[in-house]
Amino acid sequence: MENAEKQMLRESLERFAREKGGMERRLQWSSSELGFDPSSWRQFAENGWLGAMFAEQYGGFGGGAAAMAIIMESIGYGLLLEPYLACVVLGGGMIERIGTEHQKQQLLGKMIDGEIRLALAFAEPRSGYDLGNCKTLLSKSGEGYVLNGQKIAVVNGDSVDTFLVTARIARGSVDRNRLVIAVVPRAANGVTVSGYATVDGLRGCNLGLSGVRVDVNDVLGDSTVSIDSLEALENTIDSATTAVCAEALGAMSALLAVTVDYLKTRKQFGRPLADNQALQHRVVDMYIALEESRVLVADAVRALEGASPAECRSAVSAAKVQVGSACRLLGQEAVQLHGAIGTTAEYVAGSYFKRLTVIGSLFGNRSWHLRRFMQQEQKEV
Amino acid sequence: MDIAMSSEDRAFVEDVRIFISEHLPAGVASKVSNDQLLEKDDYLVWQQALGRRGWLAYTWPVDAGGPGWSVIRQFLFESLCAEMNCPPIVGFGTKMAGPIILEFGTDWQKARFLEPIRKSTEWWCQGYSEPSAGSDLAALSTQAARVGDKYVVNGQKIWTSWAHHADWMFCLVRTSREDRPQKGITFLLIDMRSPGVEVKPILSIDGTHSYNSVFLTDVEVPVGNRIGEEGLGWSVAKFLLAHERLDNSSAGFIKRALKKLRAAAEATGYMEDPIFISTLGEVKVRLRALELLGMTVLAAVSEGKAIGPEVSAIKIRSSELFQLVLELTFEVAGYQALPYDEDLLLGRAMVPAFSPGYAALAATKYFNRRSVSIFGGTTEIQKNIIAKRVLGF
Repeated sequence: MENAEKQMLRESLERFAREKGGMERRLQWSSSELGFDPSSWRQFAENGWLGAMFAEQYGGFGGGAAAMAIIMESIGYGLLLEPYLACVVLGGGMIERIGTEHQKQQLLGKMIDGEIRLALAFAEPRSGYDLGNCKTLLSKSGEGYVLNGQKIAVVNGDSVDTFLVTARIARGSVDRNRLVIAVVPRAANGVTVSGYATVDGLRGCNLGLSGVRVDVNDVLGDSTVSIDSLEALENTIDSATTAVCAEALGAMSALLAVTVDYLKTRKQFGRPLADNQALQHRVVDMYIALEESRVLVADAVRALEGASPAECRSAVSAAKVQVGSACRLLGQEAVQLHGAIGTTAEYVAGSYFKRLTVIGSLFGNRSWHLRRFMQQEQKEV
Repeated sequence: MDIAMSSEDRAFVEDVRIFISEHLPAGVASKVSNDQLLEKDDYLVWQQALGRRGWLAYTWPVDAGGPGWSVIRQFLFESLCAEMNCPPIVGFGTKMAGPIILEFGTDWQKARFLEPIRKSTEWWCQGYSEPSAGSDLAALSTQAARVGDKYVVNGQKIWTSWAHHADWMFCLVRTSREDRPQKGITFLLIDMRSPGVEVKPILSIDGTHSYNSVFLTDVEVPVGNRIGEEGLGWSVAKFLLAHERLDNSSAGFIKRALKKLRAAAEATGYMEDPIFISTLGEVKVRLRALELLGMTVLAAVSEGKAIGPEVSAIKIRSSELFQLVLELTFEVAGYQALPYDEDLLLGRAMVPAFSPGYAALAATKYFNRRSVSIFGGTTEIQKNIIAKRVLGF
């Protein structure tokens, strides 16, 4: 993407965030049926934002990870509810990496048009953050398969029609133990969706899969070839990790501004709180943590756009480690520096704080990414 | 962490243990253990049972109806209650209004108010903070104009916990403007059923309701409800600060939270993670230091010494450690902590709907307890106290 195009995308997202974002709208729409405003989602589709990351042949404009990061940053800043992460980065990204041309036209193309929404179901009750730790099984059954297992924390899964479910091929098959992605309609027999609001005001679901029939052509990838989608899944999750890091940059920069403003305005003991050097220094610490985060996220975006898988892992983990620390610092400090008002639901700091807290736990926490980062470092030695 | 107990103290602990197991309803203990929101009745059933036994106002002098417990026994009682999942005692009556009325109250006020506090048949709240008077409480501006044998009160109080349940509010109001803001403040007891009192809920970030705004519009308060002299209310309020105790419940809450963290870590495999184990080690070292600091204060008080500003250090470290343990529990719970289980949180359901028990309320508890470093004197104010009174800055 050219710089001019990036700037235009950024400006239109910022405008959208100003008009359609903010805390009141978030509180209003987060308890709606879908958890977001469907007319806003249509706007995303009409503005070409759902395709921005993807190649033109699917209706996108080839913006890659850079476009993704710009959009996610505005989502963070604006406290937007639209399920871009779930649908585009996770769902769309997975299909783009391993789908056949037909699957891409069907699923990716229709998602980009705003016709369908997708959710990627990969986390399990005992999987932790290890993507290979998948116990959902796809067993051969006649001409096709049968799917059994449980998924948790499916981002925005409560309202989608189409799930992409990670599963291992069961014993008894020459492909045993390989990881694949099954396309599962919500309406299929044996699918149980347990939807919920999440603690940060978004939506998710747990998924029960009991004897769900899966056609051979509903497994992502070329069914005539032995597929192992683990690496593609890892790449998709790396992209999603970078996406939420970009979202966090937007949220943190809003939180920093709100905190500075509050300290300058709020008076106690006859003078603004900002007169206290001790408090100024704490806000400086927030600022520095944000700047460190910014450059590491930019580096992760750059790596996603063409570096080797090893370099990607390293760059993405470094970003998540730093962003994890920064989310914690800025979230906690913003609430504390606001005093009592920071602990209330009606004040904006709390909404950012909750989302930043959840981001810390998505796709690997600090210690998980530290370990992965060090594993990469040790390989290089 | 065991303190040196005499055999009588041991027998006392047994008595308390038996009392709790006989009088604390299992359903209430369950809610406390699960970090679910308690209803007024949950607190009342426990507090009134304690009241009947004479154990609710456990810090009051014997001639005011207190049980005459040594400081050690108060400590043991608090620890055991925390450990056995008793609801925390809502102390606005027993720890604030009561001691103030005992110290400064008229005979009529003592006769009218002390017994219902001891028995928890009347519920109190604290009308101190205002939108422009938080840490700078002396800047308060709720006015009280003397009209005949009444005060007419106008203004707004905020962050009033339990105002929605309270029968009475003890309140700092301004009766005159003097050269210093601490002068001209008067201490009033206000009946929450008075015309002109309006309570509006304030929702916290975890979605629960504890705090309120209290709007006072031409509220009439009889002069007989004034504590101490008009214009000298600030020294009444300061009396409480000077006679503050260290409540050992906080160490108890931390230990309970640590047990949950341990259970979560075992369920999720974090107990095999060297990074987590080392973090847990640090938490335990800090807890040990905190408990020993508490012991030091306990020993000093048993010897009749007044507790000093070093208590601020304990408050700071106690709130930080509690918050850290809750944060770690949220982290360890991973994806299982993401669903918002409102029915479980509010006590409408007793079983988690989406996640295992260790995870179900981990996020909301973490969010809710950000307030412990803010309410009751912010960490920043506590640090100022140490800076001035210990370090001499």
